[in-house]
Amino acid sequence: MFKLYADDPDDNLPGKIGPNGMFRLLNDLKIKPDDRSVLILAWKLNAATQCEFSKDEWIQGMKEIKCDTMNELTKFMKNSASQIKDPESFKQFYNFSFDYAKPLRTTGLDLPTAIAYWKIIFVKNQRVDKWISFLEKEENRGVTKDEWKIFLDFLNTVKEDFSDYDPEDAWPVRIDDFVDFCKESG
Amino acid sequence: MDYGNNWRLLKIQITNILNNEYIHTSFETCYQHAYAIVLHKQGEKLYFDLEEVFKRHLIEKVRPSIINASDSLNKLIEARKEFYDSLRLVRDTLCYFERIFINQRRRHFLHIINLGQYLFNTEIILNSNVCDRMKMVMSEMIESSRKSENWEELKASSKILLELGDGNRKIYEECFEKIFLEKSAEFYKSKSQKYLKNGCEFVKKISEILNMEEKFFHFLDPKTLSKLKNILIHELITSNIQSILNMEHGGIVYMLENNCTKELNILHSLIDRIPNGLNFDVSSIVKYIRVRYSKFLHKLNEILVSNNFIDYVESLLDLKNETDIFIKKFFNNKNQLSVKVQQNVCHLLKPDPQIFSLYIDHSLKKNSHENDIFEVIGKAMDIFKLLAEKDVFEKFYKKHLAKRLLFGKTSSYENEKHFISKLKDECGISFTQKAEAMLKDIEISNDLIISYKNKNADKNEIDLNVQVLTKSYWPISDIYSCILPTSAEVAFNKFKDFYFSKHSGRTLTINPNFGFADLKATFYKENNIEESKILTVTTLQMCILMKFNESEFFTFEELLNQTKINEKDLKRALESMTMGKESQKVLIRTGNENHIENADIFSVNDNFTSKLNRVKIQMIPAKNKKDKSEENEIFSKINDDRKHEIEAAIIRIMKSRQKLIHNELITEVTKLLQRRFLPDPMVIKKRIEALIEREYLKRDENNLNLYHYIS
Repeated sequence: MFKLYADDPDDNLPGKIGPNGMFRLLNDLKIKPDDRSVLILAWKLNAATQCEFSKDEWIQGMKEIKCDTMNELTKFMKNSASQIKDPESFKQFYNFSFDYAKPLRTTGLDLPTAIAYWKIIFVKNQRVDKWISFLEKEENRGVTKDEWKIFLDFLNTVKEDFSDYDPEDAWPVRIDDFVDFCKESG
Repeated sequence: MDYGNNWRLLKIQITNILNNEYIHTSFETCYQHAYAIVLHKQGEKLYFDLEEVFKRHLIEKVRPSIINASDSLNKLIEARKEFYDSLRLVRDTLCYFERIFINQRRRHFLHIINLGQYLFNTEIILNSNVCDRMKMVMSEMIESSRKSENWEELKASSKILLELGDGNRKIYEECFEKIFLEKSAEFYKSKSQKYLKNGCEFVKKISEILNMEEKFFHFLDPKTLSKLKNILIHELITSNIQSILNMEHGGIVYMLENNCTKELNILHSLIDRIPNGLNFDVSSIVKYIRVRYSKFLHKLNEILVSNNFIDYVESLLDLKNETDIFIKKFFNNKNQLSVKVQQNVCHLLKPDPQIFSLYIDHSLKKNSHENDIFEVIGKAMDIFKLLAEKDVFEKFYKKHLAKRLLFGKTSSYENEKHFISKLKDECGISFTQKAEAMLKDIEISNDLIISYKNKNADKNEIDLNVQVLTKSYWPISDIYSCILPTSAEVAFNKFKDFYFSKHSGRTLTINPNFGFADLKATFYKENNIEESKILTVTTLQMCILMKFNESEFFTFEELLNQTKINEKDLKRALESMTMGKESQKVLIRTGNENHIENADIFSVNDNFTSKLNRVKIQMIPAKNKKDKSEENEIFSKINDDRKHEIEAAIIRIMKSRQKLIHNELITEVTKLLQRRFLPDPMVIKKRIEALIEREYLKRDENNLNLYHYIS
């Protein structure tokens, strides 16, 4: 299967499936590139870079998810949500996404990319939408790994109405600002 | 054997003993009866019958006698003694029974005396009717003792009750303690209401009552005594404290205004006894101080706005004096209250570090004080100690010091050194290191110039004075270079050679923003009259003026290109020579706008004249905008420095503690830095995040609020 999509002449990435190969693969799987299952697949493959799968990653990953044929892969993609059902797996998937999305030599993730990924990961979540609209209003500052990780803890532990939120705790300043923003906008 | 008969006789005997009546039957006869019963294995029946007799006696005879007695408690004690004495006789009467029957069945049956005691306990001491009677008796006793102020009876009775429980306090508490405490609380409440009209009287009376009560009840069981003390304090002090503090008649304000020191001391000692009393006390005192000195404080704020630093500092010193006197009068002890009041007053005074730095600058300049400068500095240090943001003062002080030293405005090096030594005493060397280095630079430069001049006495055409500054010590930024006139350049290079002969491995750069030059200027008037003047100008002005030796006219743009002076500075320098007072206009410019444009043409103003031979050409005093921008620059530097200091503090603390929760880290950092400034917790939080990003710290896996140090 790997050979079908690897070494695509337009990609110029010998021994790997590059962006073009990916595109063809997703086409065959009948999935859109910004569907969450793609990200889940990348997580299961433990892919190091966006839009690239190395041969080792592919082979190891396919073993992990026990898929040998296109049919099995298609099924997997359809049921990908079940892979992240329990909180621990979700957390791992979520944290993986940061490293995956982040370009190699930087320490942080630029804001537009972070927002795009948040949109993909949290399919329909009111609080995340509010978070995104807050971020779009404030200055265009990158997202650190700490902020990314803590955001998930924030979603999981703090109540909807922020009644148990204490700004004097160790929450990152950005989240303090978000809570103020939510309180002000009612 | 007939049990009934045997028992009947025994019963009569026992009953007689219990009733303290004459015993008819002999000891031996009873022994035989008991023996018979035991022999015929009726021991158990005997036991229960005996128990029944005891019970009957206690319930039907003893109990009523106690309840109906007027002095029930003593009656109880008496009854108990009687009963116990009887028990012994009964036991002796039934000694065979006890020895043979009971002894062998110790698991199931009590010995006669123990049985009797147990029954007495349950039927009398723990009986609710008896208890009620006791409560009533004690209640009356408490009330009458209160009236007569004689506590002897109560003392004895309470001891008895305690002992009755035999380790169990329940009886004591039910029948005595509870009632006693309730009645005492009521008593205190009514007393405090009585005296609550006037604060001064109140504190005196209340403290009397306190002392008396504590003396009276010294005999009480310690637990009861401590409960009583709590009630005393609560009823007399805690409930009333707010009213006392706020009261108009004889409240704390009255006491302070009328020097009622004795009453104040009593009040303080009373407040001392309630939990958190200190805070009450302190906050009302500070409130009072704020009101009392409100005029001063108001005036101070007005002066602050007007930027008149001399008035400001002097008013501040006056206010400090006043408050010092006040504090000395009323809060002179080393106790907690005094310390807290003094701290709060310091906060109240809150000197502005920037204005204060202006005052210091002014004091250290020439011609400012005829008075003893040492005295002035001494007083100023009192203000310095009150500063909350010492790092702001430090930055401004250094800036001013640099200007004083470089423009020769300081009154004397001795005075500067004196002030620095005072700062060192207060803050340590880190504060004053650079300042001392700056002074040293100047002193070294002075010596350098002397030896330079000695060496090159005749060779000099230009009389050159140089101050060599070590860059890292001086708060001078942004050295823009420019092209010097040739003669100046040559002189400077000669000095450079001399300097490098003494020191190697260093670079010397001229800073054209500082320095002065004396130029001989010749103005060609009409009728071929030449008028010469000596102009004292800044370095930049010198560069510009010297150009006019090469050519008569220059456009702004040409000057810009040929002197390579930074545009802003060039404009300022030209403005000072063309757009100021007549006595300063050594140049003419074409151009009508009120700012300099590129096409403006400059030339020497031959009409320039002055009464003086030596004319100082001032730089235009910086417009407010420039001043503000310099000030803003300093404040942004202060903020940057604070960020670094906070980060350094965080790292230091985390390194020694290895792991710490968020709130404690904030507290520790604040404690560490508060001598210099008060860090904002949000800023500290941001710095923590930055350090996490740079992997000096990390969060704990399971607890978001816990940080670990990464070594």
